[in-house]
Amino acid sequence: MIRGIYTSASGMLAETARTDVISNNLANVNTTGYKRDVTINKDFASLLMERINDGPVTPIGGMGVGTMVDEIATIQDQGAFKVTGNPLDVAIKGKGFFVIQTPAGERYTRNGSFQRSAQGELVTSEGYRVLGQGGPIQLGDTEKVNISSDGRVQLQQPGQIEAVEIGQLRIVEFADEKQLLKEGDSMFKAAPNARPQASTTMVEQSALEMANTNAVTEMINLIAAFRSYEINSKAVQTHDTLMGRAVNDVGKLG
Amino acid sequence: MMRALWTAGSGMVAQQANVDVISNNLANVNTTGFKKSRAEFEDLMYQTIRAAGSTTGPDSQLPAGVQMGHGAKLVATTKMYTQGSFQATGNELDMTIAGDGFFQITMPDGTLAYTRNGAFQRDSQGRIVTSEGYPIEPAITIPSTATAVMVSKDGRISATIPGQSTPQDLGQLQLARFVNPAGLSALGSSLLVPTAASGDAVVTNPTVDGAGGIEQKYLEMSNVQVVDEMVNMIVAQRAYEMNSKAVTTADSMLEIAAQLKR
Repeated sequence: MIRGIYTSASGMLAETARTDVISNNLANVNTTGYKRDVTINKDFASLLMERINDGPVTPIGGMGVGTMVDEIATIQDQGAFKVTGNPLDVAIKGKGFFVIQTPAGERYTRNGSFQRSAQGELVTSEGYRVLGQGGPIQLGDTEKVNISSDGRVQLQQPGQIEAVEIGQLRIVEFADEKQLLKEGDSMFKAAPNARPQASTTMVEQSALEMANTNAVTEMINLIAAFRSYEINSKAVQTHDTLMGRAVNDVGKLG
Repeated sequence: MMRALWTAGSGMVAQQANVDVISNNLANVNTTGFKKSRAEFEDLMYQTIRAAGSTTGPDSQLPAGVQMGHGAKLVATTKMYTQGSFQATGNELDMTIAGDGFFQITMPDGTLAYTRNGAFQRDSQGRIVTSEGYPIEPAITIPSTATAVMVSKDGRISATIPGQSTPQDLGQLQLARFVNPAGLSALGSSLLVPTAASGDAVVTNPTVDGAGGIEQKYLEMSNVQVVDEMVNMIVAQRAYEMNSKAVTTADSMLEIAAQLKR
C-alpha cells in the first residue's frame, strides 16, 4: 500500500494526544497547585532507502515514516498566588513540594489548601496527613495557627501572647523534577531512584498557588493542534485519492 | 472516542459546581452569620502510557514518561470560618460571637444544632428562640414583666424587673467549639450539625478557650466579600468557556476523522 497514508495517520494520532493534554490543562485551570503538561513528539526512526534495481545496491537517503508522542512533560513553573485569608492555606514560593502521608506511601504536592482534621491534625482535602520535619503536624483545637515563611508552625493559645512552635513543614526538592509522576488528586509520586532533598524554599501563609496553566498559550496550542490534525487528514485523503487512481484507472482499457 | 471530549467535559462540570458555590455565597451576602464556601478542585487520575524510568536498553532508561490526564473534579466545598463584620442593631436579643464558637440550638427532635446567627427572638412563653422558634440550649426564659435584658460578654443573661433594685439573673449562655468547624454539615436555615470530620462539640462558657465573647445588640454579617466572589465568578465563567472550546475542537476532530472515509 502507499506508505504515506500511515505517516499522515500517525500525525493525526499525535495531534489527538496533544488535544487530550491541552484539554486536561484547561480542565484544571482552576485547580490549586496544578502544573501544566506539554506533549513532545518525536519522529519514528527514518528508514534508509536503497536502490536495488539497475546495478549495485546504493543508499539513496532516509525517509521519515511519521511521528509519535515521545514524552508528556510537566512544566513546574510557579503558578500565580491567590490570597485567601484562610490561615491553613499555604503556598510555596519557588521550587519544592509538601510531603503528604498517604496509605500508599509518601506523596508530594504543591496544593497547600490544608484543613484541620477532627483529631486536630493538619491534613489535605482528602484527609491525608501533611508531614512536618518530625512527622504529622498536630494542631490541637483551640489555637490560632501561624506559619512562618520558613514553614515553622506556631500555635497561639487564646489569651496568650507567646506562640508555641510545634514543628516545621517538611518541604522537599528534587534534583530532576522529571522523576515525579502525576498521580491525580494534585499529588506526585517520586520514581524509585529519585531522592527528595530538604529544601529551604519559603512559604506564604493564607495564600494558595493557582494552576500555572496559561489560557492564551493553551488556546493557541488548541488551534494549532486542530489545524495540524486537519492538514494530516487532507494528506490521508490525498493518499486515498492516489490509491483510488491506481486501483481504478491504471488498469482501465479503452 | 476522543479522550479530550470527556476531559474538557469534566472541566466544564467542575466549573459549573464552582459557579453554583459562588452563587450560593452571593445569594447569602446579607444572611446573618453566613459563612462563605469555597470550591476546591483536584486533577483526576492519570493513565500511564509509558512509565518514566523504564528500561530502553542495556544501560539506558526513559528520562520521562507519557502520562495522560483525565480532567478535574470537585473535591471539597470548604466553609471558611473567618469572622464576619458586625452590625449594630440596638435590638437587645441580637447577639454576636466575637471569636470562634457557635450558639447551641435545640431542634424539635431534641438533638442539638449549631449556628452563628445570633438574631434571637422571644416566644410566647418568654424563651429565647431562633427565628424558626427553636430554643437555645441551655434554655433561658425571660419573665414577662422584664423591661430590659442584658447579656454580658461572658454570657450571663439578666433582666431588669420593675420594683427590683438589682437585675434578676436568668442563666448562663454556653457556646460550642469544634476542632474542625469546616467539617460541620449545613442544614440550611443557618444551622449546622457535627459530623465525624468536625469532631464532637466542646461546650464552654463564652470567652473561655477561644470560644469568643458575646456582644449584645450586634449581629454578625456574612463573611462574603462581594468583590472576591465577582472575580471568582468571572474566572469560573472563562474557565468554563475555555473548556467548551476544547469540547468543540475535539468534536470537530472527530468529524474530520469520520469524513476520512468517503
